[in-house]
Amino acid sequence: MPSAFRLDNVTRRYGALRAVDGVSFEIKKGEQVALIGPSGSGKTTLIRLLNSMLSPDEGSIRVFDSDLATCDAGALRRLRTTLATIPQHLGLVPNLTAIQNVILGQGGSRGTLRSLRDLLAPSRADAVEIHTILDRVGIEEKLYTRVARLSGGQQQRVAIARAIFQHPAALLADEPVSSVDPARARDTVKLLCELSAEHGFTLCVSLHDLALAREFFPRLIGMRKGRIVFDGAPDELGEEDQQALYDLSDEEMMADA
Amino acid sequence: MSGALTSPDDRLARVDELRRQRARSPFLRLSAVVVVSGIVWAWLSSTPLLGRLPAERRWLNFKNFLNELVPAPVRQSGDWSDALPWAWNLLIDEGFLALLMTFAAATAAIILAGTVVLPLLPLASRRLARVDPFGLRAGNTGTLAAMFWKMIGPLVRFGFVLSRSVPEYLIAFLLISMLGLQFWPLVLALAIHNLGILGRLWGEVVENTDDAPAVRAFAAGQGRSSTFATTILPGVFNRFLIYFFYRWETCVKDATVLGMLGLLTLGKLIALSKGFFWDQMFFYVLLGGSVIVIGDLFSMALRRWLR
Amino acid sequence: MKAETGKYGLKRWVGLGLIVAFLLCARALGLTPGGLIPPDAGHWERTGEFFAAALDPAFDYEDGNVPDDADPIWWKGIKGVFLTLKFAFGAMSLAVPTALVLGFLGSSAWWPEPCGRRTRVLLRSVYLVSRLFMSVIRSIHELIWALLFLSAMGVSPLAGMIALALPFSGTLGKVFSEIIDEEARDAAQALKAIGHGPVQTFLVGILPRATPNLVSYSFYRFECALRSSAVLGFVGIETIGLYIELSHEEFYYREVWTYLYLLIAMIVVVDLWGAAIRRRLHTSTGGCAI
Repeated sequence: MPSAFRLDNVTRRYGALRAVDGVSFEIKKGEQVALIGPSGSGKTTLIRLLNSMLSPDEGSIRVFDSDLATCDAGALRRLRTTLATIPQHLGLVPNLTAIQNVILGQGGSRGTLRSLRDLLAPSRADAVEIHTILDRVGIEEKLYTRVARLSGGQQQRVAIARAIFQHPAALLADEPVSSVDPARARDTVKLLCELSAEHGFTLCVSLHDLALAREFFPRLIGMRKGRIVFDGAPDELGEEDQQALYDLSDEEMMADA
Repeated sequence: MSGALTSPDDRLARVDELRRQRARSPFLRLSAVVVVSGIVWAWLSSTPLLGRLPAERRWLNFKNFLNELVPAPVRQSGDWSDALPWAWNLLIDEGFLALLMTFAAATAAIILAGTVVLPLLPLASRRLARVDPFGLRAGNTGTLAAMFWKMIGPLVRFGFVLSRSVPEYLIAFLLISMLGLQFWPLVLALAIHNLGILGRLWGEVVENTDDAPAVRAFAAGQGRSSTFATTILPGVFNRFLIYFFYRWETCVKDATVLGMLGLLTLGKLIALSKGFFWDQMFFYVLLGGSVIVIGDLFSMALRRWLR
Repeated sequence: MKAETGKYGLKRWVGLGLIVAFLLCARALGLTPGGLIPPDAGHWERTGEFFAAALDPAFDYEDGNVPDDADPIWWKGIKGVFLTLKFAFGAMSLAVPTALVLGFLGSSAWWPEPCGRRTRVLLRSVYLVSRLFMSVIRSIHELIWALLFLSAMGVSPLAGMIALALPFSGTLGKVFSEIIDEEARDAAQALKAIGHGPVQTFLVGILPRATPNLVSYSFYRFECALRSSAVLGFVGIETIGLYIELSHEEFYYREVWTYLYLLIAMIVVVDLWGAAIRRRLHTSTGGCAI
């Protein structure tokens, strides 16, 4: 199986803080992986390293067999068009409609002028495809609704639809369910896994809800203070590992508060 | 819906249906139509766009005008070093004094406007100036008092609209014919116009501020004006100051021009030298402009430093 | 009471300083309380006449020599209102596109990051030059621009429009760039992460988001342009200000009031229209008030 992401001894610092500290792992094409760990463990930084928005201070990252360190600006942009990212706060344009937001998913490969035309007058083929995707994620009637008028859960669906419309080879989602209630969170994670299977893209989701991660993902990568403390199937995750992941020492509790 | 839409044609029909149902604001569309037709009409009705003079005449006038902008001593000697004493003379003759008067008039006017607006703000507030401020019961009031609180808000706000609707130049022009040629008309005109604008800007700040502390104070038995003075005003003070200085800058610019009515600010010097001494006029224009640009750069740096 | 003193503290001194500043300025300008009333019997009489005419605006010309086939005064006044509107529309249609370009150049929202040092120096200088240019063109009042343009180009509609448009594009451009720079960047970041270029991100991720604020502010400036357009009448461009000046020169105060009422009515209507637009776009003039 060829690899989608391959990290060798990657470190990223913010001042004195090592947000990601000597991390190595490989994610195969088509795999579904959950990044787990408490908040502040480096998950967000890791996702931003994977989608090439950050560059590592040490170590190397290969995405679909191209080394990020050797990519020029054009190559990097081409690579990013194949990687869909759903940031924690979704990154939608609130006063554009759902269809306008979703159509921007292909903006990276279509260029500036085409994107402007897409915003003003989407082609019929695009409209039909976007309607199909919105139908699949359950909000087809919101096609022409401005995103600012949608609920949090619906906005999340729009962000997912934008990622799907991008036809990505891999989808990275940063805490996609941190701001919705548990029932909806479960639906969303399930939807992401189903879509990954239907479209065959690699899925990497960061979650702080361990139960959700265990229920849906065949592989978990656990992080703590920038380091990987667990990598394996959910049933291999024992008591000790969970303690290593989540039990904070008093000192850390203070720092968190 | 998903089961029903199997063929692309069905889907297209559904997309069109959703498109037709999308939220639209007829008022905004109408406004856009009015604005666009206004623009088209403005250009189509402005004929001849360049005036009635024949093209060669216009070109000749233009060349003469450019030539006259060159300082007189330089035109004679062809040496630009002669421009310096000439400019210095203009400055100490009346330029400095005019500049000083411009600043003084702008400052006096904006302070006057601010002083009048401040006590009016609680009366203009949509939340304070009512029988039941913040929706809290304020005790039984007589019919007269109730009527007063019902009327006063809209009345004060309309007063603001009226006072900013007349251009300051026009007010000054009319006041001079009543009060004679002195600085009061200029200061009053600037003050009246800016009263309306500060009323609107400051009013918006007050409306957008968090009213929790004010509600607490009011519920604890404070009156309307003391609630305003003790809870709302301290919080918005800095934003008030920012707007105050914005308007002061504008006042300086406007005071310059109001001098064209005959009072000694740069405008008077500009109006007097117009037509005969274009070089002098241009010098005064540049003088006024450069003062504003320097002030602008200064306030840009100040704001960056404050942030 | 103690708590209140604490709340104001320094701010008290600001108040005191302003009072002192006012007194100093009043002294320099020679302002006395006596100056607030008309200086002599002639001025008293004129003032009385002027305000009496407010209740009795003219419906016919006060001038007996107006030819019979002239427009009735109310129609002339309405024409004046439309001429005033015309210059404001024409000027704004020049100023807004210019300001969009200047505002774009004077904003940092479209800069690629990370970028090389030479690009950075180039972008910084574009930024500074456009900001300085905007500052220069708005530092000169529209009336003075009008004087200059009328002298250089002769009296023509275009000269009036350009004279208005120049300082307005300076102000609009400055505020546009501030609105754009203050817009939240989360959508822009997300779009960059999926391969959008920096300028593309600006056009599809930041500009649409800033549009309601840009529209609101442009409309506010349109209100200002109307007032300035009326004043352009005083330097000889045909707007309602010209009619006011001519009637006033002949002491036809009742005619002056007819024109004044029409002018005020127009500006109040546009003011209310603007307020309704802002309400529907969920914006205020807040933050962009020059």
